[in-house]
Amino acid sequence: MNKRISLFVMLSLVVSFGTAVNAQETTSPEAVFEEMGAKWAGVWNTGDMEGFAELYAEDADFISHDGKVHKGREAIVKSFVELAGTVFKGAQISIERTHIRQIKPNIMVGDSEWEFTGVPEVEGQTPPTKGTSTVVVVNQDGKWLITSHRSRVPPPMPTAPE
Amino acid sequence: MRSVLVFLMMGLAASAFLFAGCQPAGQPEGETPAAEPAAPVMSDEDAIRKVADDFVVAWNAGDADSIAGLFAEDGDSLAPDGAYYKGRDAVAANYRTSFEGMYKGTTITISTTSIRILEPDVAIGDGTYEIAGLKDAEGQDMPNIKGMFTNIMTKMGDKWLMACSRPMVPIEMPGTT
Repeated sequence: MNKRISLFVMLSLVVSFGTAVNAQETTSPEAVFEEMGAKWAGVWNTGDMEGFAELYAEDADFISHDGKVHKGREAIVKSFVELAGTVFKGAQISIERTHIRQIKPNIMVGDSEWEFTGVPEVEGQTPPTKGTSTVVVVNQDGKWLITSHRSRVPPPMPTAPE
Repeated sequence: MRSVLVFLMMGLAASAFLFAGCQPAGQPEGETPAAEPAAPVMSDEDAIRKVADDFVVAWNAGDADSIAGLFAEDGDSLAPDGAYYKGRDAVAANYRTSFEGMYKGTTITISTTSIRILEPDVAIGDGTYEIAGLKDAEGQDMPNIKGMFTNIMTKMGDKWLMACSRPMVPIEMPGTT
């Protein structure tokens, strides 16, 4: 009898745990990216760059608009600290989600458009302030983290010959 | 007891059938057939690189449909200028337009620089590309486009396909260096 009770308790625990995981998985992809975009913009806009570490996986990589590859969470945070020390210092960013693709329950891809405001001119030139980003996010132990981040600024494109 | 006997007989019959299948008809007893060379199994990394190679072949032939065939059925492409195409048909239509327009007569070279296997059926491939043979509106030669790409790849059956294609052209921003 005791054995049966123990089995029941164990089964109940398994079911409860399963429900908790499922509840987490039912968070909509839109909500995941909404929260991530808000956090990302919040970190930049408050200037607390170390906050980026919370958003990236340990082995994440980031390719910035200039094609530089930053591998690992530490290098990624450093790249944003450096960017914040340039003409973008004090600029505010807004992020708008554009596309989401659920690759697997624990892997998603999200595209967004970003725009900086408050960027001053440099030698008569205004740096591009609009671009797009693509992130691949993975669910690690119930937490969604960026594992791949690509940032792009639209280049001048050639015109078709007549 | 009877059912045990029936079970044993069925088991023997099944074994005989299976072993009969292993012995080619007409194979003399005691001789081992020459082993047929096994088809080389391509690693996931090589298979992903081959998608890039196939992309190059298709581009240089101006074959938009073959490029689209390298995408997952619902794959998408976000061009460097921000234009978005979802699904093989949209991807093919975009390349068709490009091959009749600004990319007409161009050739591409691609170098895959990094492949990260996230899961056995999901990977991220990065690399660089260069498009040569561009002409401006007056038909004059233009500098090559040098870009980078990131492809999120998914494995469908034994085939790797592009789920997301994200090319970019790196640029220096004034005031950031």
